[in-house]
Amino acid sequence: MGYASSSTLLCCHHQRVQLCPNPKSKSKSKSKSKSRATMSAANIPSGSLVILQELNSSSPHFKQGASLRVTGKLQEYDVETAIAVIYDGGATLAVDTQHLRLNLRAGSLYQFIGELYIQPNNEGLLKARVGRNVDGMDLNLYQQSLKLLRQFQSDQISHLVQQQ
Amino acid sequence: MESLHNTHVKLLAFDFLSLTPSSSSSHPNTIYRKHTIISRTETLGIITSCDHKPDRFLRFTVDDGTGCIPCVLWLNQLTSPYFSRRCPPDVRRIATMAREFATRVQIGVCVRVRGKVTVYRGDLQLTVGDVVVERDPNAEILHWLECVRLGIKCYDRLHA
Repeated sequence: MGYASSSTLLCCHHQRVQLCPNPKSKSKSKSKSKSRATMSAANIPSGSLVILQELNSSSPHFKQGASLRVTGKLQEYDVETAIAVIYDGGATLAVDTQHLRLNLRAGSLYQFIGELYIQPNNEGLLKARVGRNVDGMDLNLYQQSLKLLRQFQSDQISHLVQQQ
Repeated sequence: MESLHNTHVKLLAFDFLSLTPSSSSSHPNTIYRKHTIISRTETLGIITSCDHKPDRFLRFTVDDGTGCIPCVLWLNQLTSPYFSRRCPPDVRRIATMAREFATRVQIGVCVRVRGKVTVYRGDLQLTVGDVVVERDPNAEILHWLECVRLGIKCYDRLHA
């Protein structure tokens, strides 16, 4: 398990985030695959569940500052820039992991929550604030279940709107 | 009116955040999902923030992809007057458990949290009863499917 190395940072939603390594949990370093920090701001946006293939320039999620949760296999990782590239179903996404301390291994499956930064070349870069290893996750089941989840959410919300 | 009182209702965050506190002064602590009374819920997701006040409380948020649920874990059992009438060994046991749960709350960890639905400064929150770390990466998928199934087959039917 890792944690962010700097003492304070501003994430792209301008929330002041304090990163305080907890000595107690530091000793449990065997759980290596989760990022960890202590945040003072409780008003953190939820990362919308997105499949990498859906994340193209015409997607409603492809917006500057959008909070997303993405899942994919690690294709490559640049130690100098802390940029990881994940892929799933032929689509790739660059993820900035500079605020995480993760043991990244090519071929392993990772999930990241963060904010999307659209670069001048119209490529997306996810600035991750949370990351974890999800080796063993059934990606096909994940995607099928996500469809059911979205349908349920949409039905429930329209029902609530009708009631009002 | 049927009730899910004292049942840990499995809710997705968007559903939790649309619960309605009673506007009646005679039932100030009553929470409704549509027209059904609920008091306890279970959520599962990734911890995305935490704010620890030692010996007082630990606030954290659980993000399940449909929203963030604010949670509060009380850690003041040994000093709070609320517990002063209770048997001291029991209070110590409760305090020890709460501290154990607090060690599990770390950003990036997938947890299952159960507790009471409460309202703090007008906003819904989950007052934590227990916290379990989910190590199976498919646990969240199963939780989604259970929430969908129970929502359609059980919770929605109570007031149909």
